[in-house]
Amino acid sequence: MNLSLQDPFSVAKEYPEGLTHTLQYGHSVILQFTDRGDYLASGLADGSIIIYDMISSAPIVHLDTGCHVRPITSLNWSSCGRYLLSSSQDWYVKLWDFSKVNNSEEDPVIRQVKFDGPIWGASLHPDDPYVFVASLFDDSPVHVDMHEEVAKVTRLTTTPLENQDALGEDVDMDDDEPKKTKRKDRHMTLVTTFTPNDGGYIFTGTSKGWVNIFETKTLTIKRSIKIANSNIKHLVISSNGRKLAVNSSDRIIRQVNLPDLINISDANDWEFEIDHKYQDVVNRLQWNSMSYNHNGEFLVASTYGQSSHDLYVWETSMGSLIKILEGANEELIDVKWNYSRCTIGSIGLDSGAIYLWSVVFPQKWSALAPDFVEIEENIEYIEGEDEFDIIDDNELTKKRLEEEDFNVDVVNGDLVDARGFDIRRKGFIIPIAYE
Amino acid sequence: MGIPSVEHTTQPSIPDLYLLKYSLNQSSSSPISSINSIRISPDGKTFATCSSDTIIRIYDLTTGTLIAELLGHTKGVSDIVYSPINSNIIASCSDDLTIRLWSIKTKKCIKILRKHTYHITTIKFVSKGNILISGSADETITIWDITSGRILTTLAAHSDPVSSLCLTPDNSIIVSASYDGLMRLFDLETSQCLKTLTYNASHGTATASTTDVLNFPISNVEISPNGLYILSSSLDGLVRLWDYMSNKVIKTYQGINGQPVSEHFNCGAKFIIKTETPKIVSGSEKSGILLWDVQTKEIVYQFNNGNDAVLEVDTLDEGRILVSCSRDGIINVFELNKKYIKQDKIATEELNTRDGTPFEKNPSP
Repeated sequence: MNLSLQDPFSVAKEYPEGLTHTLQYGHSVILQFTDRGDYLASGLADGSIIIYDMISSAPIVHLDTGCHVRPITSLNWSSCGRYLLSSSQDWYVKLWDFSKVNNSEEDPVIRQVKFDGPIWGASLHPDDPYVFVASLFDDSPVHVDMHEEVAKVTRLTTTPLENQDALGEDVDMDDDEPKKTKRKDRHMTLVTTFTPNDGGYIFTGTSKGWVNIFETKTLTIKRSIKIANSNIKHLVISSNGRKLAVNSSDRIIRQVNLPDLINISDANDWEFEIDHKYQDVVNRLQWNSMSYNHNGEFLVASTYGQSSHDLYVWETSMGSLIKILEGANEELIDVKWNYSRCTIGSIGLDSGAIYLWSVVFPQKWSALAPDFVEIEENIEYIEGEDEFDIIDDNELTKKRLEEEDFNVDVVNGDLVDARGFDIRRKGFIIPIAYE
Repeated sequence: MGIPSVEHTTQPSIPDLYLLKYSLNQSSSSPISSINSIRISPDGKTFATCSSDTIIRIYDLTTGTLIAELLGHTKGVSDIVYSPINSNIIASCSDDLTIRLWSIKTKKCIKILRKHTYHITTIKFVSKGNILISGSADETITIWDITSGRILTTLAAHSDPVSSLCLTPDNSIIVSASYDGLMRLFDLETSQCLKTLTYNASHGTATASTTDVLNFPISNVEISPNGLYILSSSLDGLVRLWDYMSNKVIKTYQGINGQPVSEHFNCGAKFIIKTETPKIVSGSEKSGILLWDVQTKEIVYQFNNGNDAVLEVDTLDEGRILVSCSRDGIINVFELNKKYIKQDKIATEELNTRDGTPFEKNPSP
């Protein structure tokens, strides 16, 4: 509701402009905002997790008992904001229930799964906090169902669909690798993610530039597409499911227009077209991480290397660079977009501090004095006909009271805020340790 | 009372709207001390009162038995507020310049917040329970981070004591009311002043700096359930409903026969939406509890069993339960007459969860 009283031009801005906050509490390596943007989870290098409230910018929970013992590699909130999935280099994936935090009697870790090696990253099913997919170091990616106490782990294949048909024949679709069999053994899945909203499909990215698409229901591979020739480091799907960004180690982020995966069920009818390639032609920088805004119209990425300390923001329909966010004096690693607050968060590699860029609202001075109005240019004053007429106060009051005869709705309010986000959905409120 | 009324005498149109469940009278014991505020806990099990005798008392809501007395303040307590996420935690503010946070179970003070330099008049929690906002007679509003006890901001924007505070349902705007006659709207996150509202009977406008215009002190503010309107009570004896987006008073509520509601005391007011049409309830100086219909501005219900001002009212479950406290130490607990409860209430609970998981709103520890 504050937005409707702010400067409308500032509210209409779709990406942040300036560094507004720096949060430093431990050495952060990963961050993640809730769907509603009210909490921020920060994974630390020591394996613990801190939750910040976005209004006070202060930590409200430090998950440091029963936590990981090596750096966190990924964090995922459930859409209701009650559960958080964390993965770490210590071989564990843990599911936290925030109704049990700040309470010495209960253990907030409600599920944990141990793997045979470090975890690159895990991704939570958008509709079910007990289901996730994860990519493992030197191992096949897994689909895990934790509804039962003992988790059901299903391995997914890394080999692209086309190559599976030719298995054993030593045929590689691309001729860039001479020792096919040996190299194929090294073909690894580095990243996995669910499609947003219904989680109907799983996208995985491999070390040879393939994107494999699995159907979640059957966990069978439906389609493989070759996007690049090098490692795929990140896959990000915009929350409306329209765009896929693929970050690979060849210094290019490729943006792929996704077909309608919900309504077109035949995988052969899917068309994947590379829409844009984002790269820094001059400095030839690699990209560390990237994130879409809520409707996929903007993409932000952080850059690899000590020489650059900036975030690049592109507009995704034309593919043009529109903003470079500065202010951090170190290399930035993870980057995330807080949708409803129009804030971008990123983490400094050296200090482990969290930097937040937001839209800055100018103070309206006329807000302090109701008889002052801010005007763009001089207005010639024309006295109203009755402006200085003396009217009897009683008569005026009576007239005003008579004008009050219309109906007021004090119950039903707006359904969306000034930025167009649904405000009816109440998020989960994390308990506070008062004592 | 013998005061000649200008308008014809009107009787409250729904005399059985609320049924008195029970009444507590402290005045029988000890010297009478004023009960300044009354609040029902979010879980609906208890209610708390604070009084000028420095004691905060916790009662069982259904039976009215005293559960706990919280002792520690050295001067009168002006306001109390339960944590919205934990009914075991209550905060209080006092003339002894401290804000205290209490655990009801252990009857112990958990935290003492000191900063204000004069009487603290009002406190409010944001709905997540991690931020507390206090208004004081030192003319400032302070925003506290409860988890760390740190001060997030101090807003110094009034030229007289701050009398009352409220928050929009989305917790983005603080509305403050002051004896300088102004209501200001602040953005909680950026601390910017978003708007100033003032009422002036004559044409032209007024700020506190204009000496020739008299603004009546504002004694209480309350936000409408949808957050679009502000209900203000001022010491000219009127209660007004503001459309703050367009800076307009859209409804004015008067006491019985056009008498002032309150000219000397800060009488609390609340919205009631459990009934077929929305209502407003307010304490008054001489007429006990008054209830108006929001649209018609008519007084539909009145209850008076004391001789002094009703200083605060509070509601539970959109007005199904109503409590009041008065300057002469009387506590009343009412229940809405079942035949007036709105029938077509559509459950909106499914909006809260989208992933089909068990979802408790506020797990109580």
